This record gives sequence, C-alpha cells and structure tokens, in this order.
Amino acid sequence: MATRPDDSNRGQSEVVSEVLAVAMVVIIVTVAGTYLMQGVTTTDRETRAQVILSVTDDRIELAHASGDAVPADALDVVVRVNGTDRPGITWASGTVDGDGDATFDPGERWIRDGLSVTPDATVRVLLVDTRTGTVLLDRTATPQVVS
Amino acid sequence: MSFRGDRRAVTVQVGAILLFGILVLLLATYQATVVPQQNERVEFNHNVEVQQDLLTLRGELLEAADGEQFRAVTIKLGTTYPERALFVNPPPASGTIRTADAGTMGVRNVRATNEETRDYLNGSHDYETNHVSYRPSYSVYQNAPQTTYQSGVLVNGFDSGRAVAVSEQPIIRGNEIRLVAVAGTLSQSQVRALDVQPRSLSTVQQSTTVRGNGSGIEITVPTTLSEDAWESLLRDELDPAGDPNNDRYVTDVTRTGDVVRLSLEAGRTYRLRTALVGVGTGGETPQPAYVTNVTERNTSLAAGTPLVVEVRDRYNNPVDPTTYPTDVTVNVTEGRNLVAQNRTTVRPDGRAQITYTGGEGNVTLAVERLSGPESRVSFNVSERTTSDNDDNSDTTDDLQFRIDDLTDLRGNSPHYVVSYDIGATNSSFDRVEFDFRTNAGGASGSRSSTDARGHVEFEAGNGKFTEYTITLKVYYRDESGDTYVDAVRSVVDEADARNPSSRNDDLSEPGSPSLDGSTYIVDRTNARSNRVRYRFDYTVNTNGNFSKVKLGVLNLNSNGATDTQDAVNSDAMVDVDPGDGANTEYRVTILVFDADGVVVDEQSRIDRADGDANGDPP
Repeated sequence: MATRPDDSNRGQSEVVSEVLAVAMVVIIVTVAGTYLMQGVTTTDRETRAQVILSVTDDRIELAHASGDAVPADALDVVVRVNGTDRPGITWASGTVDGDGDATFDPGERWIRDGLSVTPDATVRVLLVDTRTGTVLLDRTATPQVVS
Repeated sequence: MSFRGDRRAVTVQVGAILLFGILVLLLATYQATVVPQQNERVEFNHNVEVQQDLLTLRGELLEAADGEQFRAVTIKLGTTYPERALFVNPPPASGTIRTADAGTMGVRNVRATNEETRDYLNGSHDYETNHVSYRPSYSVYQNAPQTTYQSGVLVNGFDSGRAVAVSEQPIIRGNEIRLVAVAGTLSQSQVRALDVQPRSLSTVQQSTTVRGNGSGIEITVPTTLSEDAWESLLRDELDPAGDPNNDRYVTDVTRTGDVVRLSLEAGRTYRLRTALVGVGTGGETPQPAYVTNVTERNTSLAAGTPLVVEVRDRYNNPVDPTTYPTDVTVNVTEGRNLVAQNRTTVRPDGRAQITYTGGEGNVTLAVERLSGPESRVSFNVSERTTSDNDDNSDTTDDLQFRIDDLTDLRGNSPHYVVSYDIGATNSSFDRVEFDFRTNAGGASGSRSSTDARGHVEFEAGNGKFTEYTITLKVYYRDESGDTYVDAVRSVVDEADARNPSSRNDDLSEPGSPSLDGSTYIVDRTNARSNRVRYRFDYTVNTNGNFSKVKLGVLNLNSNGATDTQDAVNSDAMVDVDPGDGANTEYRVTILVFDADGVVVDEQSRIDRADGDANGDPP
C-alpha cells in the first residue's frame, strides 16, 4: 500500500515551533521594549535646578544655587501678591547678577526691584522653564521689612 | 495552504535575529542614555540632601559657639545608585569634606566700654579661621557645587568662579556682632555618611559691649561671595545714611581680594560675641589674654564682700582653667592689708575672688601668667559704715541667686526675675534688698523682700541692651535694733533677653519640682501671616512643692514681639502668641517656681520662629 505524501506528521512540529519562536520573540521584545520604553518615557526631560527665593518689601531675588543652566528666554516668572497677579513682573524686567550671557547659570542671581508690598502681604512666586514645562520654584513668602 | 512545501522558513530565523538585534540595540541605548539620566537625578537629589546636612552642621557650629547643647551632625558624603538587573551602574559616588585655612576674620576700630576690658579690647583684633567645604565626586552630575561653611554663611561655589549663599548671615544682626572662628583639621573622603561633632573651644557667655574707636567699627570676613551678594545678605541690616533712629547699623560693604569689609555706624554701641569652635582633630582652647572686673572698681563695700575679677581669653570669653595643665593664678600685688588672701586661683567659670576685709585704698589683682595693663585690675575700695556685727558676718557663700532676663527688647522694657536663697537665718534677719542700677540711660529701681527664700521681679520702661548692676543685700538687726548689711552680692548683666548663664546658682533642693522629660516646646509660628506662636507642652513633677511656671517667648533682636505668661497648672499645653516676628530669632523658656517662689528648673532654647516644629539654628 502506497504511502500518502501527506502522511508525515512532522509538519505540525514545524508550524508549532515557528509559531512558538515568533511568539517567544514577540513576547520578549514586547516585554523588554515596554520596560525599556517605559524607562525612556519616564526618564524626565525636566530641568533640575535648585532656586532660592528671598523677598523683601521692595524686591524679589532668585538665586540659582545648583543644577542645570537654563536659557533666559525660556524662563517665565509669575508673581502673585495676596492672590493678585503682578503682570509687570517678568523675567526680562529683572536684572541678572552674573556673567551677562543669555542663560541663568548656577551661582547667578535674578533681582527684581520695585516690588512695593506691605509687610503682611503674601507673595507667591513661580518660576517655570517653558522648554521642558518644569516648575523650578513655587513658593509663598512673607516679605522681610527693610525700609 | 500547506506549510510542507514552504521553503521560506529561514525568514522566521532572520526575523527573530533582527528582533533580537533590535532588543540588544534597545538595551545598549538604554544603558547609554537612560541609565545616566536616572543616575544624574540620583546625584542631584543627593546633592540637595547633603546641602541640608551642611545647613544643619552650620547651625550646630553656631550653637556650639553659644554653649548650647550640641550634637554630632551626620553628613551623607556619598550615595549609591539603584539596583539594576540587566544594566551596569558606575561605582558609588563619594564626597570629600575638609577644612582649609581661610585667613582671618576680625574687628577694627573697636573699643570696649568697660575700662578694664579696654586695656585689651581696643583697636583691631583678628581671629584665624578655617572654612569647612564639601565637594562631591559624581559620575554624571558634573557641575555640582562645592558647598562651604564660610564664617557662618553656607555658600555654593562653582567652577566658573561664581558663588551664591544658601543660608542667611549671622555676623551682624541689629547691634550684635557675632564672629565664630573655626579651628581643627578635618579631611575625609568616602561614600558612607560621616559624623561631624563641633565642640566649643571658647564659649560666648555674654556679649561684650563695645563702641567705635574714633571712627566706626569695621568687620572683616574671608569670603568667596561677591560684594553684591553680601549687600543682598545684609539687606535688612544696611543703613548707608547712618540714620541713628533705626535698628540697622551697616553703612557700607566692600570686598577687597577675598575679604569683605562691613562698616558699621559710628557713635553707636554694639554687643560683640566672638567664639572659637573646633571640628575634626586639633584646635586648642585659647590661653588667658586679659582680666577684667566684675565687682565695680570704685566702690564702697562691707567687710567680707568679695572682689571679683574675670579672666578671659582673646575671644573675650571666661577661661576654663580645668582645660589647662596648670592653675590660673591671680595675685594681690597692691593692698594686701585690705584683703584676706594674697593669691587665689581662677574657678571653672573664669572668675577669681579675694575677700575684702575692710579699710580704704587700692587693691590690685594681677594674673600671674600675663603681663601689661591687661594683666591686672585695680579696685579703689572703702569700707561701708555699718553697725557692729555680733553675728557671723561672712555669709556671702550662703547667699545664692539666679537671674532670668526676660527683657522685651522691642518694647524697650528690661524685665528681670531674681530668685534668691540666703540660707539659714535667725530672728535678727530683717530683709533682702535688690538694687537694679544702670548708668547707661536705662531706668533703675529697687525691690525688697522679708523672705529668706523667694523671688522678685523688676520691669522698667526703658534700658534695653544696657548693663544693669543687680545687687542683693541681706540686712540683719543688731541688739539696738539698727540694721546692718550682712551679705552683699552683685552681678552685671546686659538687658538683652539672655541669661547670665555663667553665674546663675542652682537653687533647687531635694524635693524641688522639676520638669518632666516629656516636656517640649514646639514652634507653631505661621510665617505666612507673620504670627509667632510657641506651644509649651509641659509636665512638672511637683513633689508637693510647686507654685507656677512662667513661659517666655523672647525676641532677641528687637524685630519681633515678646510675651511672657504665668500658668499655675503643673501639667498643661499652653500656646504663647506674642504677635508678629516670624523668621526672627527667639529665646523660648519655661521657668518652674517652687512653693517659695524660687526658680528651680528651666528649659530654654534659641530658635528661629519659622514654624519648623523640629527647631533650627538661628
């Protein structure tokens, strides 16, 4: 009795092994890729900087104590006195005590005179790096009286 | 469809290999980019934390200068990276802390108001000091700052040469000048944390009153901060016009080389507090430099009254002779016929006394190991006329007292609580008189008590920061009914809301009430609304001998409100809310009075009223 060519039972193992191989690789790559991409996506692109705020009744000072240098044109400062915005106070309206380049470097200080608030005012200051959307500082202070 | 005739099976392997290749590429990319970014974050966070440790160290250095309780500060010099299963980390990051010679800090044109102190403290005085710096060694975060303790200010310095202060300055606050020099050698580089324990080598007991010597006083301090940065630090102390009607005294700030010079208003009185603190190894207790009087120099005394002098080191603090290999001896070089001893040794509180036996003339006491006018003090004494004393006249040793200075500085109201115990008395005992006298424009006054043990309070309408001579006289009656002074003790204290801690006697007895160890004082200040508030949560072990506690929240720089309250409960939680003054320096104290009205226990600390419940250095 002639043997039928399709009597071989090896075909199933090929298919199974190919499916298993593809599945295994897909699973490994998916798991590893998810893990790695998660790392990549959660690795922040945020700006790391330590900024110190001091407020008196007539000036705000921000000192860059350590971390990344930030381009000055990417910095946005928002000042609220007793909950009301002071739109006139922008980064460009202050002066930087530093090397005069276009970045806010560690060791430099940004000073904005002419604040004019009462001693019992609450002054909230936000400093944002608009390139990365990082809030570098969000503090509320009561001014020290010097005048 | 049939797989059997398919000859493209090899593409599966190619695909798998390609996918594995992509995986390897991803792994390599992750190692090269993501791992360093994550590690940089770890390093940055560590750097911020270690700066906090260094701020704590700064606080402990300043507290050690004042002789407060101090403790070891743990500084996390290095850090490790998160464990990674598939990826490789660099070795753990280390850090180095070390001391470096910074040159000298000093005062110029200074002139002590006390004539005997002026023999030494007159002109310029320099104090060698070290900076304590920390530099990390990170793998990724390359522009981390070098953080340095510089004469009380913590500074972040960068390779670019720029520097920024990360703390306030303690050097000048109102009319108080505070210079704390650092001695000793410290050099340690490691990953692990390191304990640094500052120790006081010359402790400020009380400030020395000084004025300018012709021109205004100048303070010089080694620094890496710019002149502008110093002006910013001193912004609430600057008074370029020299207005005599405010509490700001710095008229000019100049940086020359690595030294900043602070010029102070001329014609004003200042309180000078200088100290030496040691870190690491080395650093020696300073030697005696001069002697000054405690008893008034030109005075009329009852026989048996001691003439007291204080031997000080070059930091104007009393020496502790127990730290030297040999005694510090004081000789009587003039007027030996007027005193009971020809020589004596200095006590651990830096004082020496010779008993006056009567007569009129000069008595000169000289420190044996010193020379020049600063080595001696001359008294011009005369005997105070009293009735004959048929009792044991010298009971001075039995007369003990303590002074609690609760002065309201902003209200310009000196406030003293004087507790006393004159020891055993007999039926001839008449009274105790208390004289509060100042010659510097403040209000003087007197009090009297017929109790052998108790307290009196003195409050005046003006006279803050002036020196009060507080004299206790014990009166007895003789057989004819006339009174005579049996014992006298006096002490000089500046009305500055700080106790003359070196000379307060311990008046507690067996069975006296005491504060329980669970007692604590919490800063509940609301900085946002500028409301100072301290919570006293106390328990007194009364022993059936308790009358009250007095709670004090005392501003130390005239820039905040002060309040004191009495409470008769032995176990209570009381909030004391004096008013405004957030972020200023306070002394908070709880005094325990026994049934006789004597202060027998206390708990005090100096704190910045900033709402930090854990307390912090000023």
